[in-house]
Amino acid sequence: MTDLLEDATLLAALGEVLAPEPVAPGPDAMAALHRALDDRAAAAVAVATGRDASTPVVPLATSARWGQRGGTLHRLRHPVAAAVAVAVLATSGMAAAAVATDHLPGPTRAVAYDLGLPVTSPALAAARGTLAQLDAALAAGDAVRIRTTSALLRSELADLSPSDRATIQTSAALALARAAALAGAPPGAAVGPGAAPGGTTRPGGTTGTGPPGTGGSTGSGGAGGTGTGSSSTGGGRSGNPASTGVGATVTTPTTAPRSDDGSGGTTPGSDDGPGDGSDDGSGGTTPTTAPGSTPTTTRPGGSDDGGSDDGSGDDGSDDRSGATGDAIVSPAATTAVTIPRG
Amino acid sequence: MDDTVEQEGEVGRLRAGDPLSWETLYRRVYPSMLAYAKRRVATTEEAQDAVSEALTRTVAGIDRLGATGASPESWLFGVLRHVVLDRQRTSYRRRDLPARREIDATDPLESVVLGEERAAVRSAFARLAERDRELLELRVVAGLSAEEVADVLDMRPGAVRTAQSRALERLRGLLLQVEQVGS
Repeated sequence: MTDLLEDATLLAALGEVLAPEPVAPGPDAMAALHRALDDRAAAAVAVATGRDASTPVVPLATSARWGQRGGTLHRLRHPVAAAVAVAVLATSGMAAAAVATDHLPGPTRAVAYDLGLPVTSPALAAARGTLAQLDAALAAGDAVRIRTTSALLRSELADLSPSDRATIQTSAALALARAAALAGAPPGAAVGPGAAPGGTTRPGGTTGTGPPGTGGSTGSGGAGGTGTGSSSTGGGRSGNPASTGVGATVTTPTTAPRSDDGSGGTTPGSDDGPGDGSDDGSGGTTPTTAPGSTPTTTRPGGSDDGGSDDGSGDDGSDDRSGATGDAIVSPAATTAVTIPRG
Repeated sequence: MDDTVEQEGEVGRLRAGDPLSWETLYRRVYPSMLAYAKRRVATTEEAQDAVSEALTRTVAGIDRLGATGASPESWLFGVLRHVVLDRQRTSYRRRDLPARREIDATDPLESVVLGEERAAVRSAFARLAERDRELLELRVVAGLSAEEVADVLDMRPGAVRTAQSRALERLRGLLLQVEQVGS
């Protein structure tokens, strides 16, 4: 034992005593090594592609342990596969976002629509685009553009399916009526067959999204919605919007504002138009309906305050005299527009 | 080839993720890593898991190896040491229990086979403090230099040499005690 007193000797003896068994890493240990290397490579790819390297990567791999797991794809192991997966996820994510927000380029929209994805139809999208152009032209007072976009919009509306047309008819009819009025077209001349010349204007009218009234006037043709307020308290001019799409007359504001205290509300409905709908039109007294026009509902002396319709007659009844038609025409109307059938 | 140059080349290959370099390193250090872990955890399986975990962590953090200038072996043992400590903390296991259980197994048959001297060394080593045992094990079993042990234990190389000298001195004292008890 005395020969162990030297440090070197003692260390050698200690090394001999504590010598590890000559073992080699088993298959599992080597698989773990390769898995770690693959994970590191995938993380490097992720960093290169801008993905968060700490994000767990999804499966694809080949190792003994994976086989033991019944082939379950546990982790993404190959850098190329990881990159492909990242690209697919990013692309599909953008597509989902685009579909969700309905912001798609034309060809993509057509494909998506054909595939049954919940996107607006190309025809409706085109009509909306044209409508926006028409609105811009109206705002700018550009007569040429008003004429061209009006014609285009009418043709596009004619191509729409009934359901698509129902979603746009209100605003389209209003815009077309305004266009016809500003263009100085003869009543009905620019709106095609079934037009209702002599229709009145209705600034800030309700959009008529509510069901037809139960009493009195049905109040259909709730177009002209530019008001912002709710008319559910008896605005009375809401109606079935679908009725305006088939030859219903829609009036637009022109010259004869009316006063409408809203007391004769017909149908509770919502007024989601963008305008302020203020219309004290005191001059509206004479309902004017052109021969051959769609039956209209006139409101002598009635006012239309559009979105701020605070009428108290919220019982669905319409005490307005002569309220029998399916369009609302205010007095002193000048132009009525009919959306052609598809 | 100079050792430093060779080590730099190996570190470069390891950092590049060269599978062959990693396998070579792993096979080289696995026995000593497993022995180190087995003396500090309860079972062989747990020791194997600790070694595997240490390797995985080392692969993930190999990019930092070049900056430290440490050898891959010392880096691995440093990581393994932390893994073992984590497991010990988790299981509330006394660090010296497995070692005592293994090293104190000085049954007569073992004495015959290994010899009286070996048994005495094992017994004396088992009585050392954990700090001394770990340092000596890293030097003797893992084959790390004083500088590498310093990396693992977060000490200065000079302090490692001093601590090693003191540990050996204490081991000698314990050996004498064992001899006296045996006689």
